[in-house]
Amino acid sequence: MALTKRDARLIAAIQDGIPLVSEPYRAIAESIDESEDWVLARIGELIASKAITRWGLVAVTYEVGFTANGLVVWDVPDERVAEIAKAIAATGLVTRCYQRHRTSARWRYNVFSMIHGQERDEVRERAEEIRRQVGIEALPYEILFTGRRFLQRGARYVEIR
Amino acid sequence: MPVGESGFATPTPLVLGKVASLAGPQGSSDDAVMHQEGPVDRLARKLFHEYQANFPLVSRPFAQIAETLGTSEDAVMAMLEALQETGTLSRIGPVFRPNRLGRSTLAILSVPEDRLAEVALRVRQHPGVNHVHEREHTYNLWIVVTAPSAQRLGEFLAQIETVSGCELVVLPMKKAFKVERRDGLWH
Repeated sequence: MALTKRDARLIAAIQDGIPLVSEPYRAIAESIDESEDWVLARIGELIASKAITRWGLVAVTYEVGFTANGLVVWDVPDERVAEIAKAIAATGLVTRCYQRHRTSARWRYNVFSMIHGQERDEVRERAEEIRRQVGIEALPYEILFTGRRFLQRGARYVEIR
Repeated sequence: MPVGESGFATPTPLVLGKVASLAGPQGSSDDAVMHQEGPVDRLARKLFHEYQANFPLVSRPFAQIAETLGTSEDAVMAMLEALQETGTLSRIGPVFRPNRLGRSTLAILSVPEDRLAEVALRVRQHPGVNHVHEREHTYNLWIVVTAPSAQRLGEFLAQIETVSGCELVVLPMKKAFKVERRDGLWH
């Protein structure tokens, strides 16, 4: 959808979240010199057009509450990605499964999946279970455990100057 | 990890236990999984369950939520503030469809171990960077970068590589096969 200058100002004002005040939309409207009615209507339109996929509470991370989080990356032949990625997703053992573009000879993996657990061994065992169930024991893979989280915030689509 | 490209969650009892401890004596977070759910936890859970989407678009959204949940506007706002302070709630607002209003991508950096914290802090200062995570690997710093356009994204990535002084590999999403929410909804 085409973004007007008014939209850009609105998005800049909401992308880090609404303020915790009784009338948050009025506060946003005042900060960008618009009416509260326009702000409410326009956010509704951005949701209806699916530019905003959801509007509400955003938790800090899916990983909150888990103590062992493993990203499992697989090197899957391109022509088999659809079949294998779907099968990995269907095991029910991962929360996410993506294909990413191959862009560098230094990074071979193209399928990314996430396993959440409380112990590293639990994550390793589930990765083994996926390899068996999907029948991909021959494919190269690695488990990357999550370490420190240095930053997480909402995406900013409008540059704040 | 790709978490940043949409980003949602439901807190577990462990986290809710931490919130509950604000309201009175409770077990430590280590044994919080076992603790009995009190009214504070129940409110937090309901808020996350009901309002990860469809947050009210009305003048006084917190008052409307309070009415629905049978509590007061102040109690709802106080709980949301507590969830923010304990690091459970990131924000109340939009999750944008990736690559619709702008462009975003995962990028990974290989940083010498003794420079990791320093480079992470430099990188996170860039306005286009919205996630910075450590992963245990040669490529140990994983970031999500978002820009208003593909061209700006390219510029951002070049700037970040320069600022970090480390090799950067860009890994754009090709296809999502599964993105699950803890409450069983699909994104």
